[in-house]
Amino acid sequence: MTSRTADAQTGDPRDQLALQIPALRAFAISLTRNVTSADDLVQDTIVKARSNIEKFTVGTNLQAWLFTILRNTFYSNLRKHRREVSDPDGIHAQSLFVRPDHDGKLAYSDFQRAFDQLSAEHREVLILVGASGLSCEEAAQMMNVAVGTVKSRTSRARKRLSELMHLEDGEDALSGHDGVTLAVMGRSGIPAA
Amino acid sequence: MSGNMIQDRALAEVTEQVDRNLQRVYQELEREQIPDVFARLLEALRQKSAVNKDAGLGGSQ
Repeated sequence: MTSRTADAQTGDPRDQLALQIPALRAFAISLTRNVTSADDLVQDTIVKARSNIEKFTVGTNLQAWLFTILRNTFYSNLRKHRREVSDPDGIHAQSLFVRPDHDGKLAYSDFQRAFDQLSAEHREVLILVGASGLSCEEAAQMMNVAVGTVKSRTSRARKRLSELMHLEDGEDALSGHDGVTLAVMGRSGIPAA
Repeated sequence: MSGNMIQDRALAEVTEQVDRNLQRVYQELEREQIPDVFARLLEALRQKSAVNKDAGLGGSQ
């Protein structure tokens, strides 16, 4: 646990909101892919959190609580405005063609482009489980789904990411061996969906 | 070293790279400079809460 998280476990949660803004913005940007929209989303989240602060249980995970408000606001806005371009089959994303470079490293800029092509749902679960440090159980509670759903969604997101990076086609993506996709999909023993 | 072992190692390396990149995406976003608007918003909410408290309307607004 980071000291910032530890600090957030005690005291008046209103005083901890400012400390959570960087994490909220990171999550919001990963969802919206737009800094202006993300900042609006974080501001809405802060206002809602302040207005409902009595519903937060001191000693529990403030960041997870705020992330829940943020994602609920994001999806609510999405339903209202229908702004996101639907790309369930990744047709739009097929324009991306990325491989590891000659020394076998996954170039970060290429990775970012592939990540940006994922659906909001897939970006969300990868950020929550793969990067922000939340457990599958915490992520499941946030998303109001079963833990198994988080795991299968994570698997699907990893599979999609591998497809976008063209690691799944069985060619010599890394060092002359097939099945690199399995590695991308197989973290923590989570089976492919 | 068997073919399977070499493949397993290759797969593990790619997995690690993906995970590192995911964490880097998040950490870079987290390190971005926070716009002043958030400090102003928090201060406005704090003042509003203080005013409501003084007026006996409760402190959570």
